[in-house]
Amino acid sequence: MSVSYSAVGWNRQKKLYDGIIAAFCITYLILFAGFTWIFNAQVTFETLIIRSASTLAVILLHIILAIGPLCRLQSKFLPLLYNRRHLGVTMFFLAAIHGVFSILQFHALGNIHPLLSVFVSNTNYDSLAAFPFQAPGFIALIILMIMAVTSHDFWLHNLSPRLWKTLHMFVYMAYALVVMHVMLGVIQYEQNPLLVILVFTGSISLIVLHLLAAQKERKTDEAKLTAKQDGFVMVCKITDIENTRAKIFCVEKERIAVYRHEDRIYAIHNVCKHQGGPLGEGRILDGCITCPWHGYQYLPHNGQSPPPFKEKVSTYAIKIIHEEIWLNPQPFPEGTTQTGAKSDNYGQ
Amino acid sequence: MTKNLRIRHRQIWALMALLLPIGILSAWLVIPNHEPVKILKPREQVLLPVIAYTAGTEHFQARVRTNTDRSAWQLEWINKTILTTPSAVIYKIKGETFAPESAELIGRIETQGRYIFSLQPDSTGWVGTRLILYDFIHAQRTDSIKF
Repeated sequence: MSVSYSAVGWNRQKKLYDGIIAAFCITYLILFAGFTWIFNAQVTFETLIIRSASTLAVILLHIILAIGPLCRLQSKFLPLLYNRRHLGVTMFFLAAIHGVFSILQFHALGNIHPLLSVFVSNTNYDSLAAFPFQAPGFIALIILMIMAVTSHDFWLHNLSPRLWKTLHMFVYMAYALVVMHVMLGVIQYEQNPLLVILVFTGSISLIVLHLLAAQKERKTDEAKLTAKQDGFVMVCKITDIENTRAKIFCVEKERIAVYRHEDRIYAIHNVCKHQGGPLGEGRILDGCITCPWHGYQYLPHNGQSPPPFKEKVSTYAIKIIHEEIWLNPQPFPEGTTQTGAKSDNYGQ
Repeated sequence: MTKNLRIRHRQIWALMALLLPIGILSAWLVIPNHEPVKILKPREQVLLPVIAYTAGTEHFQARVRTNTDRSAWQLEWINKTILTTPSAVIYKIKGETFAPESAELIGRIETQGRYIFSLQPDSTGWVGTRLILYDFIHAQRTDSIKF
């Protein structure tokens, strides 16, 4: 959070997660090398490195891109989101190994600079069949490098969350470039139809997941709240919200998280100041609303991060009439204290 | 996520849903020569006993092999030296004019070793045929062997 920039906190969960990533990568690389040695022993060590690193990076990229929509569809995937950056940096590291070894192997022996050679050694840019497929791969690698370098919260704060998020949405462009790099490259020379099927299945799976998640979000945004009175809208009954949990409502184009904490109801803006995480999908831990994405915390009564942290979000007026929660969608300035609303029936 | 960000995600993936399948299918449709001969053959493939044609250079040796009743054919390719072009495929042409789109693709080789590729059942008439070694990364012809 904003008080200082410290080294990554290697809590138990992150260590476990990183251990799983490392074990998966090492197992994959060993299996890849083993199968290559059995079925294609004439492959050189450099080629083995190029192929194993690239295939693993593509698999990880698919997992990374699936985590976001999976979390929006099923909250049980949220721990993956909490740790996603480590997976992203690992994926870039593997992609970089593939890129460096490929450039050295395929372009280092020419009479022009290897990086320039990637773009000019084959100039059939007007032909799909003979397209210089390494160019889209190289551009994707640059995008992934920028994302990996700026993945730390230091850059998030200095670039502003909005710019940082915009920058990191270029991962979708990188993904499209990687798909075409594969399709116009190795697929043109390895005729095994399994490769095409895998690429196609991976892409379609991601597209379906993202569109399903978008549809779910759209339903939330378009839910009609018709009961209105003195600037307040009726959102739900008290019993609809579990203690320490929230429900999210989209009122006048803004998402608001209505939380139940102990015997009171509070409302705060749904968007976390860190990376725009959905605060209403989190829960109250240690008396604080905790963002499900990266654990940023806010006090329910004033929307402020507990000292010494400085983040704060808007709060909203709430009242309870006949066990129904009524919300005023006009936000108070960020960090404004609200007493919350209490039901007469609590404690009975 | 803010509403704008959600909308932007939805728009991006709607666009991807349109463009990615088109890109994948387009690339799949332009794969040259759909005969299943392009994959790298394992070294363990059994050599046919009769050498019908042979040709070579100081770097490569190529032998067209068949069996006694001439019902099966193979190309045996040997890299005598380490190949400096790791992205090499072998094409077969008649005459001197070479274009990858119209040439017959035999298979891909790595930088070292011996490779065996199955050929079409009737592979007679190799005299005057040329094997082209083609670097598909740089889209250029690197060497050739004439029978």
